[in-house]
Amino acid sequence: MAETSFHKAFGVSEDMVAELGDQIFDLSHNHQTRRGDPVRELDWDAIEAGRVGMGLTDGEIAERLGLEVDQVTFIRTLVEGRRFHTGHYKRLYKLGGGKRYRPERETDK
Amino acid sequence: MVKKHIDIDPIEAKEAILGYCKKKGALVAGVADLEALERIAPAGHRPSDLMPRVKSVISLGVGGQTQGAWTLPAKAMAFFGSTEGRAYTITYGLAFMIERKYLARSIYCPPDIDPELGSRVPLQSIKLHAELAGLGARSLAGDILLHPEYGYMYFASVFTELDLPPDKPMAENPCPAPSCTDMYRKTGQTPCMKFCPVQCLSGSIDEDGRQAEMHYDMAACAEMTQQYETLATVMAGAMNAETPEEREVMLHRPENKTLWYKMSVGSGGLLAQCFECMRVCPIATRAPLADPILRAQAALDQEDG
Repeated sequence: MAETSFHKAFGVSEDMVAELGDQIFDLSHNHQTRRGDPVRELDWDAIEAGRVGMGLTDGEIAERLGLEVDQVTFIRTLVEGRRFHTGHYKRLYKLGGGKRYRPERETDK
Repeated sequence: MVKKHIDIDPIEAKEAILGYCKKKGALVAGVADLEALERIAPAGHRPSDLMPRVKSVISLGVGGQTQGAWTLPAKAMAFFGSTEGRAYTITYGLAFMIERKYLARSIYCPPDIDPELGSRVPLQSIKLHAELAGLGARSLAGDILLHPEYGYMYFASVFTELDLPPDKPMAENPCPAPSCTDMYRKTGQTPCMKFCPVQCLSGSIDEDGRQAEMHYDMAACAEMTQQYETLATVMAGAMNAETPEEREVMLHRPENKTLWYKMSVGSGGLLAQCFECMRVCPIATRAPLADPILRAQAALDQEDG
């Protein structure tokens, strides 16, 4: 993909997006894993231990990867847009009124 | 003008504030522990990042759908299934009430996204406020908060410079319900996991019937619940179409035409549109006071003694 003036403004190349995009996406809130119920229990050690699983902020990701915060935000939002599958929404049209989702019935068009 | 000072009993003030919330239609209300909030929320999303002199965070919850709504097709529910507007109205009024009555600066906490961070990062976690205020506990359904009596609610918050005594988080988590644990033991999935249209939920339950792990693919969930994100993709697709015919189809196919309709009428149906995990949740749909019919029946039972 061609690089834009926005890429240049943030000092991000398409190679960087290809190399770091998935990692940034996975470290962000887009994927969340919680172990136990640490916030409700105010288990401070578990809250700290669970931060990475629950998704890091762009600032925290930038610190880990040695990037600027703006670069992480730029790459993350770009990847979010590219991965957004608009075709899945239509699955809702067939659900409700007693009908539940069954993967074996799915035929996305 | 000399600033007036009034003596305020924090306990009485809290009672009056939470009473206001309930009178205006909230089912639950509480005060989150500010120190805990500041410690848990990441930098940039702490209450003090919005309001530097904040002393208290008040959270409230309003009821979810009517009982009838759960019987509807998903495409109808997508237009009105969420009831968060009512929560925002109450908190907006509450901020005014606190300033007027206690002369303490207050704000309605915006439930919206941080404009510097795209469409998936909120300014504040309203969920965290509600959880710490004891209004709900995190579920296996992507951490949606559930309440043992009221089920599934919508939350909103007020920040104030008035010092109020905080509440505690819930002592127990109602999720998973016993029937969900039974299903998990047999199939490895709870109803919310099984019936999610994009399979964005997974997790595990321990031997004691408590949540061990919760996995949430928020990006997949967004495809069903945040249709405003579709707009950019549709526009880009139309602009990049190779032929005029392809562009025409991109803009005029039925599901995309619906987007233009929703935008033109300012429909809230561009967000929070999928309820399939909650539709099959026994706590959301069958908690003792989960909907107006159940609450009315409980009130009648109480009258009968």
